[in-house]
Parts: sequence; C-alpha cells; structure tokens
Amino acid sequence: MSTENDNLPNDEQLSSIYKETAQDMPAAHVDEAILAAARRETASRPRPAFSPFSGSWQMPAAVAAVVVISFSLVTLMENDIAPTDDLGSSAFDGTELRQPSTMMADKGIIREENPELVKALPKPAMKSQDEMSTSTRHALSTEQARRRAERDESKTKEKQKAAKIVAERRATPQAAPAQAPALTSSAVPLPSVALIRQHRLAGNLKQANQVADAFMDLYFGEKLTMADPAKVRLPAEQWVAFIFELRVLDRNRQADRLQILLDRR
Amino acid sequence: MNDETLMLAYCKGDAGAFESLYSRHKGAVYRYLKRQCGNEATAEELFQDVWMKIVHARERYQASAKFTTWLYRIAHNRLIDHYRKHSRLPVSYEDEYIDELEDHCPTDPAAEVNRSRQADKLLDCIGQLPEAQRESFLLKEESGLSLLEIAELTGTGRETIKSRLRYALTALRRCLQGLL
Repeated sequence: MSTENDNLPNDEQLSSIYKETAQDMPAAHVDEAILAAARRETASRPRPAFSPFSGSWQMPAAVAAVVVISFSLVTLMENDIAPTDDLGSSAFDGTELRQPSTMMADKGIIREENPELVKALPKPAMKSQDEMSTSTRHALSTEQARRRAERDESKTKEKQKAAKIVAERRATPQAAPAQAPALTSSAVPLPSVALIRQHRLAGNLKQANQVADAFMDLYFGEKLTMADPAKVRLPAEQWVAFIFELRVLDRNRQADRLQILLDRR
Repeated sequence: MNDETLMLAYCKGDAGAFESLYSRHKGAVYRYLKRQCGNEATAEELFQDVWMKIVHARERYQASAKFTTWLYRIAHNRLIDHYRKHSRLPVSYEDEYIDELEDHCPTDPAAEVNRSRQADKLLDCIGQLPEAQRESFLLKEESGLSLLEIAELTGTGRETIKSRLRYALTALRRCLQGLL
C-alpha cells in the first residue's frame, strides 16, 4: 500500500464486512473462454515484449537529433559570417582559388620543365592565357602580394589608431561630456559619418552609437551579413571612415564585417 | 513474480504467465464490474471484454505502467462505454451526493448479529450509491490502488476521489445503522 492510501478515507468496520462478500467469481465457462483465447493468441502470433519502434528511446533520440542539427546549422552560419582575415583577403584575391588563369600558368611551368609531358596534355581552350609568360605570372603575383600587404598595413594602422582613441577616451571618461556641444535630439539630421564623429568628439557616445545604427540601417540594412556589397551605395572613403568610427566606438565586430564587405566590393 | 513481470512474460508468449495473472485479479475485477452494473450477465460480458482487451493490447503494455492501474483503467472505460451504449450515462457522476440510501433490506432484529446479514445489507447499500461514489469505494476495496492511482485511472482529481469516498462511507454507515 502506498503512502497515498494513508490519506484515503477509511472505515475498517465497513471494509471487514465488505471482505465477507468478496466471494463472487466469474463463471467457469468465462474463465475457460478467456484463457483459451489468451493461449490461442500466443500460439498464433508471438510478439516481442518491446518493439524497437515503441520504446522510450524515440523521444530522446529525436531531441538529440534536433540539437545536433541546430548546432551544426548555427556553427555553419557563424563560420559564414565570421570576421576572419582569410575570408576578407585570400578568398577573394585569387591566390587560394584555382582560377583558370592560374591553372594555365601551372601548365606553362610544366611545359618549361618537361616539354614531353605537355604533348600528352589536352590542348587548352584559351590560347592567349596558355601562352602567358613566366615574367607576367611573377609580376601578377608580386602585385597581388603588394596589394595585400598594403591592405593589411592599412588595417593594422586603422585598428591601432582606433584602439588609441578608445584608450584615451577610457582614460578620461568625465572630461568629454563637459565639452559637448548642444546637439539636440529634436533636430534629426541624416545619419552621416561626420555626425557620428561630431557626437563622438563631443563625448555623446550614446548619440554617436544611435547615429551609427541609423547609418548602418540606411546603407547596409539590418542583416549586414546578407548585404550585397555591390548594392551598397556608399563611396569607399565614407565606408572606410565609417569602419574607423565603428572601431573607435568599440564596435569591432561590425567593423570587421564591413571590412570584409568592402574587400569583396 | 510481480504483475508486471508476468505480463511481460505473456508478451513474450508465455501463456502460463497470463493464467497466473488472470487468477490473481479475476475476482476483484469481476466484483467491481458486477457491483457497478448490477447485473450478473452484463458483468460477465464486460468482464470478458476487459480481459480480451488485455490479450489483444498486450504489445502496447509497457513495464513502466503498473499492471493493476492499466487493468482497472480498461475496466473503467469499458463500463463507461456500456453506460453510454445503453443511454444510462451515470447521472450520479455529476449529481453525486444523496442524503439517504433507502432501506431495501429492512433489518431483522433477530439476525442483527449475523455477519452475513450485514454483508447482504452492505451490498444492497452499495448498490444504491451513486455510480461515481460506488466506483471509488469498489476500487479502494478491490484493487488496492492508491488514491492517486484511482484518480488517474478514472480521469478525475485526487481530491474529488477523496471526497467521493468520504460521502460513500458516510452514506453506507447511515444505511447500515442498526446493524453495525
């Protein structure tokens, strides 16, 4: 008897009288019919106690599958939007991808080193590219390397400059608001990099961030990662300046994403 | 061997396990049905249906469920079906509380000490209880299930079952007044 039964309203006297009546049993022919049916059932169709598809493992398995799939999708999406230099530079400068021109150049190398092997190769479709000289290839790769170095150097400088400003701002948090000009929120000018800078220099970081948000919405839309760089109608200088402002405002992740977009453009 | 193990053995094809299970519970289930429907022939029919359902639904049985709860739930549902089929849905499930049970078996003063007379009278009084109260009383006496299990198998709340039982016991005591 479980503890729940302790709470059952009880009457011992009634129970004992009732037990004297507990003699009624089903008739023998009913017993026979039921037992015969039970025997017939086991003889004709023996069934397993547990079907592999009726167990209690289904629900946990389903939940686990959903979790794994969700995690994989999220990880994939994160990788797609991750602000890495690989995505920003090498994937788009043609050094990693095996472009047709690069493949043709490879064949040029083969031809120079082993002319016999070249005869066995199928003829290339584009004769002009096939005939690209070694010096041209070298010049191209040198130019690409130079551009990449320049871009990296400019990025580093930009980040250093932004970090310096952030550090200065953190060092003197009280001083800035006192110098803030009277920028009223009632006048709502179009968001611009100049306005962001103006707010920032005045120490109104909240407003600077709000204008930056508005600027972001205006030119890049809400889903920054899905933005098509070709459709962003913003001059490159403004773009670079905005990235700089974002870094100063400590919004490095957004700045990195915009930088990737800019590189792609 | 407990009920659940026997049922699992039957699921695997052991007909002997079913016989043990059947002999263990047949009396209580039969009395529950007979006293609920008040007719021996109908009770036998319902009884047979309940056990045949156990036989046919054995693959759906899971050891995590207590066999007795499962058995009495099937019996309870079969009884409700029977009430519906005969347009005799137990009104008393809604209108449960009656003040007095009629005295169908006037007590014979000379036989007041006779236990069997008390038992007969008790059965008569049980027969007059509203269905819901009667069911609660019979399930408590016959099945040995807990309050929570009875509530679960009848699809009602724990407090409702408790209250039905209290009313049933009070009514039965009043009905047996003079014999106790």
